[in-house]
Amino acid sequence: MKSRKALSPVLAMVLVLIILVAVLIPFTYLMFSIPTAQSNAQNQAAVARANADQQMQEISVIENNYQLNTISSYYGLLYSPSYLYVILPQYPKQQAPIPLVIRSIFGLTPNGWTVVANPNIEITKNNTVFGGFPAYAIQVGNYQQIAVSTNLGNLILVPKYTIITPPVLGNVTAVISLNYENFKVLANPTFLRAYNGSLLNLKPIPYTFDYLVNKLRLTSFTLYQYEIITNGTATIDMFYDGPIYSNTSLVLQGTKTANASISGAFTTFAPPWLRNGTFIIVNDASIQGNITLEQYWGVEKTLLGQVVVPAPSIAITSGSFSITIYGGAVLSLSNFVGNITLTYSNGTVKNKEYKTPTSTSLVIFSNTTAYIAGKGSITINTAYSVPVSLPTYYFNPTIVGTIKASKISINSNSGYITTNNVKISGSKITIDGYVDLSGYHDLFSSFFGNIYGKLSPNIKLTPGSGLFTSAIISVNPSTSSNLQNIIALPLSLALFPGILTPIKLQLSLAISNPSNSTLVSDYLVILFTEEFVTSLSASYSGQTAGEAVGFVKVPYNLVIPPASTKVISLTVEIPLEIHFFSQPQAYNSESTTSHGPLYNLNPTYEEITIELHTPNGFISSGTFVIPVLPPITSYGINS
Amino acid sequence: MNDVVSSFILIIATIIIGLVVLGYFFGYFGIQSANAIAAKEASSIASSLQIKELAVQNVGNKTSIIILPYDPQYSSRIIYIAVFTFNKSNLSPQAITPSPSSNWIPVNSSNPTISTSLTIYSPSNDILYQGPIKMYQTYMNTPQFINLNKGEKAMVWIIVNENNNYYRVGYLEVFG
Repeated sequence: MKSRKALSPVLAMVLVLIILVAVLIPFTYLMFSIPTAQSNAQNQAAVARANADQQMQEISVIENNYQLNTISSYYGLLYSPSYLYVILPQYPKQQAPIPLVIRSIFGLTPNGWTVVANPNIEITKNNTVFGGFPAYAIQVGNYQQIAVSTNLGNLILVPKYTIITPPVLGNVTAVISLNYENFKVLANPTFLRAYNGSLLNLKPIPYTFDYLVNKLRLTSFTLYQYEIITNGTATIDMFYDGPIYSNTSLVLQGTKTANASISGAFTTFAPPWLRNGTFIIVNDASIQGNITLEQYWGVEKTLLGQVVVPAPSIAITSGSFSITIYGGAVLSLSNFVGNITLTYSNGTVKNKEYKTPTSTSLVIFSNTTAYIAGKGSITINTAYSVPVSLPTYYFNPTIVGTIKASKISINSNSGYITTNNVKISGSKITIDGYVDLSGYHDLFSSFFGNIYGKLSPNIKLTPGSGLFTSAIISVNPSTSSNLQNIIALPLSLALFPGILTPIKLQLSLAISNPSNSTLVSDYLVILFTEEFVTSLSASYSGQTAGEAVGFVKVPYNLVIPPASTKVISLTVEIPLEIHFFSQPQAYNSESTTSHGPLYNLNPTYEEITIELHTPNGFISSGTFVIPVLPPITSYGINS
Repeated sequence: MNDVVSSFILIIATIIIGLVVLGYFFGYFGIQSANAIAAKEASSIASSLQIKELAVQNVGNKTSIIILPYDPQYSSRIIYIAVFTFNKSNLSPQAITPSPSSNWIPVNSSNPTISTSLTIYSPSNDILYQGPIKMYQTYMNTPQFINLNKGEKAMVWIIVNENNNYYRVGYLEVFG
């Protein structure tokens, strides 16, 4: 009985096992087998995507000739009417890592996309040449644009290839014609001699220059002797290019305001031991450039054991500055907040930071460079004591950098300061103070550079330098209706320095653009040549012939569409240089007149050349002869 | 004797019960696993399918679009494309389904292969959509062309048939 019953639990266990197996096998199958297939699919899809992405990097779509000329990929797709070109710029030198197979080509019609061809072709070699590149051409027909699908499932749009013409081709040109009816000489050139009394008392050019402008009697712009003073409240947009010089007066004096930038070099001719002065600029200005403080060599080795060199102080009441000082100096800082970086000759860099207003002094040795950036007041004192036993100390500090402050004062009591390409700029600059140019006690005795800006009343500039240096003042007439353009070039005639006033012309030009590109010009250059005969005034005898030549650049924005014409009217003044074909006999003194016309110029022949300049260079010109005398009739001889 | 008979009856009954249970199990899991295998297959396609699109502004304020369902592992497999418009929806693209206001966009300017009411499953074997649908039978890796009017928004469904169930294996929003 017991032995029989022992079998049933075994059978029950077998049944349980069968049930377990029957449940577990499908379950396990569901659990594990298919997810593996799915992850395989995902991995393979990732590889396919990576390949497809790389293929896209190998292909560039060429839409125009610029892109074609700069192609750097393995394949370029280009659709020029009825053909798809696969440009192969690297063929046969290099092959793409992923070869391009063009599976299908689609064309866009007004009804949508359509399959044009299913070439399913691998591009391995060229069958033609396009634009100098090996290319494989597939005929597709004419569509708005086409698209290409590749073996790796990339869909690439290929718009029509267009040829972009460069903005200015060699054949872009202009035809300039001059309307003679609208050509007028408003003012003929006049020669003024800078001559006063006798040959021994020649006045410098500025004197004549002043006289000239004074004589022109411009309503709101009068140039008095040695200075330009504007009346009223008008501001003048002016350009001054030339030296400023005076041997008795001041260059920049009094309380003046200039909304301008002044750039150029200030130099001095005074002997070093006499050079001193103060240069003060206030009111939101900045100084940029090199300021070199040079020592006077004569006091380099004093027996007192001190080397005395100029001691300029830059007093900045507010604002900031960043300057670099080369060479030896003692810096006295007052209420200074900022950084001082010292670079020694061996390359060591040391940084000193002043977080709170500090007053201190710092010795900058001659072999050290100090970069100072911050706020406060700084005095660069190069009156620096060194032992006599070290005679090789040379202090020649240069200040380079920008000083931006509401008040800047550079003071030098001895020695001198030279500047190179100093630019003073600011929205409003008041030059308050003086530069002593009287005698030899000058800091800046002359200036050569540009002043460009709007000058308020009572700015004094003394133009000219010496007898033979040229100076040009150009006043923009557009900023004041009463103002005229003044351009004057001094004339260097060995014994007779003087000024030839510009010729003033009014002309009307028709400029045609016969090309198929838009003509853009940003300025014109007008060249003027005049042949003349001079008849000398009463006390002189004889006649002489000469030539006056000159040119001006006239800013003028001109846009002329293809196949159209534009008429422009200009009033220009052209400063002239005069050349005599023989030396005029004008040696007699003119004791009674200090200034005045020396010659009456009778023009015999005038020629004007008008050049059109574009941002890409000169494109066109026209030369016109202006008859000033009725021509002699000459009958042709019938042969 | 009585003991032997009762034991025998018990064993027979146990075997019968076991076989019945086993039969139920196989019957249930057989169907389930077939559906599950189909869903897993669809999921596998869905995970490797790439849908490439190229839309171009055409004349007449139309947008002409090329759609390329691309899957190198399932090339030349029969697939179905359904394209329907939808209105501005806050749903995420994968949850957008055809609504009664949806227009069915012709694919390749042809008539739909299947135009009936169907149940569309997601690859996770959930019912995604039940209702009328217009589908176009085509092959994997074959470009499809559709045109949309300006401002139209449409949803492209890529559908496969596995074990007589339709699974949406890919979707793409396109804009006119």
